[in-house]
Amino acid sequence: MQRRAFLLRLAALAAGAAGAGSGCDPDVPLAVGIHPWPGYEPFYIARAFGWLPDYVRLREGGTASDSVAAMKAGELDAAALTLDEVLAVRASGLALTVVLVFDVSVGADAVMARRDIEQPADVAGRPIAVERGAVGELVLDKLLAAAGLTEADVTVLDIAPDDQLEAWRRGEIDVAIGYEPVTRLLEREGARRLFDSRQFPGVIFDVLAVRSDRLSVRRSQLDALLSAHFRALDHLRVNRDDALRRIAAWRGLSLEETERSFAGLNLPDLAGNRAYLDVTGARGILKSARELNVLMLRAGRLSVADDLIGLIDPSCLPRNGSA
Amino acid sequence: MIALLRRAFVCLFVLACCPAFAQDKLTLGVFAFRPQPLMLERYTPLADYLSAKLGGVRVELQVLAQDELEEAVAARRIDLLMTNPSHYLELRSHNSLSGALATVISMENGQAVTSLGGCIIVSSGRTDISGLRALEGRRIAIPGPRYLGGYQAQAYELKQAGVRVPGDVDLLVTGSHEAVVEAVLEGRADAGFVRTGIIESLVAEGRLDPARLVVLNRQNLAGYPYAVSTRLYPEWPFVALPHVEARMVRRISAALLALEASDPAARAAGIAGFSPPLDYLPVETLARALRLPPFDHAPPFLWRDVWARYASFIIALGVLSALAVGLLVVLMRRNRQLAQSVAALEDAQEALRHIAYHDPLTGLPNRALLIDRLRQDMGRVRRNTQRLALAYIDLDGFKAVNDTHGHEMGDRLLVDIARRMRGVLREADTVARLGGDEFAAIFTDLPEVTLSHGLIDRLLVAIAAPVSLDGVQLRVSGSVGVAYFPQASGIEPEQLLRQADHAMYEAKQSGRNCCRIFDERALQAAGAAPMVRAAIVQGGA
Repeated sequence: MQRRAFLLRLAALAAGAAGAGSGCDPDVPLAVGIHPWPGYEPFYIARAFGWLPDYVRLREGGTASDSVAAMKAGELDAAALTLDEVLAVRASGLALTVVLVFDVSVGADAVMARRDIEQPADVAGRPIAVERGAVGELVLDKLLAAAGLTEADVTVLDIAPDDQLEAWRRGEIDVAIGYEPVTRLLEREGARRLFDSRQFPGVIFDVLAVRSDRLSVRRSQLDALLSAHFRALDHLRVNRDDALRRIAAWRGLSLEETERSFAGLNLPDLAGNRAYLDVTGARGILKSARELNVLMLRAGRLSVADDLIGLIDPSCLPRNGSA
Repeated sequence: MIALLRRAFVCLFVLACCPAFAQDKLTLGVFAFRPQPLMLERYTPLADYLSAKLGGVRVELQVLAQDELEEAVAARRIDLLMTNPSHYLELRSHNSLSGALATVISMENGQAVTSLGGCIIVSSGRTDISGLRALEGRRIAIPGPRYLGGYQAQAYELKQAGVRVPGDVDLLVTGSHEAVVEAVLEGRADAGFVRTGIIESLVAEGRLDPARLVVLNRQNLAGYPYAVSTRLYPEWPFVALPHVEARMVRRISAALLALEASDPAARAAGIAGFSPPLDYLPVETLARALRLPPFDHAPPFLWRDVWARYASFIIALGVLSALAVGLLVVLMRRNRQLAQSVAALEDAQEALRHIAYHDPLTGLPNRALLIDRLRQDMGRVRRNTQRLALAYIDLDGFKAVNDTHGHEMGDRLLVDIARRMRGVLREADTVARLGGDEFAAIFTDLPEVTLSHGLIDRLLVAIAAPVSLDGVQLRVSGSVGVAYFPQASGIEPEQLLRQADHAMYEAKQSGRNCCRIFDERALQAAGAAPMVRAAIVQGGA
């Protein structure tokens, strides 16, 4: 009798071993919030070529705020956000973990200014448009630091990039802090690129953040999603003409505009991701998050510094280069 | 392999003969992807443009098929080369070519592009073919298997969609793009593969009504001027062979990059000039996936890759195998233990049986076994009409040995006598110890009972032989009573034994160390009480 029970236990064990390696419940798709941004295009490329696993659903919103709201409502497992947005969400009580770095801003986030403003210090006393509670605040902070000014020396208007062009045309602002394609449109209106994220690389990151409470359940699905991402990134790197023409077609842009939209972004490959998701904290995301803590505390976007516990998890990255 | 060696030899030979190549003439080999007269017409201006730019060096055009191009490259008959990217990769794997100096920019409707792709066409009447999967099992016209835009790009796309080419389709090789279009229009093929730009050229040349064809799996690519069904690949490379002087290569590169779209040479060739060389890795990826040359051999098999890809599966399999093996081992061990237990049990049973049927001191059969053997022997001799003699043996003077020298000495004497008695018996005979100093022997399968006499004499001699134990001379003798079988009436083994016992008693009476034969009639003649007789016959006390 006892032996029979033992054998049954063994059979169960064996069945468990056979199940190892298969995903968790594949009936429930992995819901990922995403919105248009050049750095996120590999996900769209992967979807176009059928490389995304069947159980991944890209839920497209207009902005990062849509994704954050849906994630808090429990409708999303993960979302594409900027690193400072991730810290803000964590501060609001929802634990998030960064599993992938889409891109690092190296010029994509810029300060556009009227022609008479020739250097950062010249913004003193001028009206500046910036989206409050978003990545633009970091750029403003860096701009003021470079100019040796404080917020008291300038007039800050809370205007999102989408509305900056109109405000500029109406003459309400002299300085606009935004990103592509708005920065380029302002350039056409005669604006000068005064300052951009090339002056402070490694602060503005676009990342894939997963709800920490769902990370363990969703791990194998995330593995597959990340593999598809790096495969698509390869296509964008090696078969650039094909990839850019596809992106241009679904964004309704010209090939040149699409090409330019990537100019200010560095899309790290697998090795780059490993470096950015370095758990020692000597470099990469953790190092930047410590700096963001300081900036966001000063800007009032954080009331307490993030303890950075569980902020990054490099274990979903593919083990080898092949997807 | 032999071809390669020959190629290498030819190269060496040419190099040995011609230490320096005359550089006043350069031959430009171009792959004839369209009909040769058309190609000559289109590319001669480009050769002339280069001649003019290089000053004093004449560039001569040769339009060749791919195999002719390969021979020409191996034999150093051409210096410059324009061919499709996959053919370039193949050539590069066999010959040391320079990297691409430039990539062709093709031109259509004022749109300059540096990528080519594949087009999948069906006749516009064919509403039954819509997606890629619908091509499975169809007859497909292709210019040839070595065309990148005319076969390989489409084959790769179909492979991604789960249709194996050529496995799942029926290919019709026509030899040219024009013939593919004809085969589709005439219904000789269900679908056709052509390079991007072919349809547009034929329409521009007035040779095709665009309404008669439909492009399958049309890709939405911003600013791409051609109908396309596949992903894009870098356009044709312009290559210099390694024997061309470096200075000359630089001048050629400069001339190519300087060619304006408006230049007659560019317009004649239908190109917008040349761009700096593109990365040809996408073509390599395609060639690898389709196992095209130079990747038409299975890739080296690396355990590391297998592990990287199937680690979890291998681990699961390993765990299961380990479990199975473990269970098997347990099973085998249990089995062996069981077998051992059974064997031990059998041994124990055997030992028990031995103990049950043998005398522990001498190892001789005991009374029970003697009776059993006697029953078997009696049955046998009755069937074989043979005879059997049973001897009952009592040692004379053994008690004295025991009393004088102790039981141990007595036991040793018994063991010795048992050994000697066994020594004089035949194979089939049995000697048993009935207890104390009494033994019995069966002499079986005797044609005549008298034949037992000699055997019994030998037995007596063996018993009476002196023995020396620990320097003590011991000597006993035996009194033997014999009973024969068969007898007139039926008789049981026990009765036969009692008869022999009776005869032995008589032998004791008559002075020991002798033998008496049981005789029923003598018994009766002696006037033995019927009771006694009855006792003997019936086995009473």
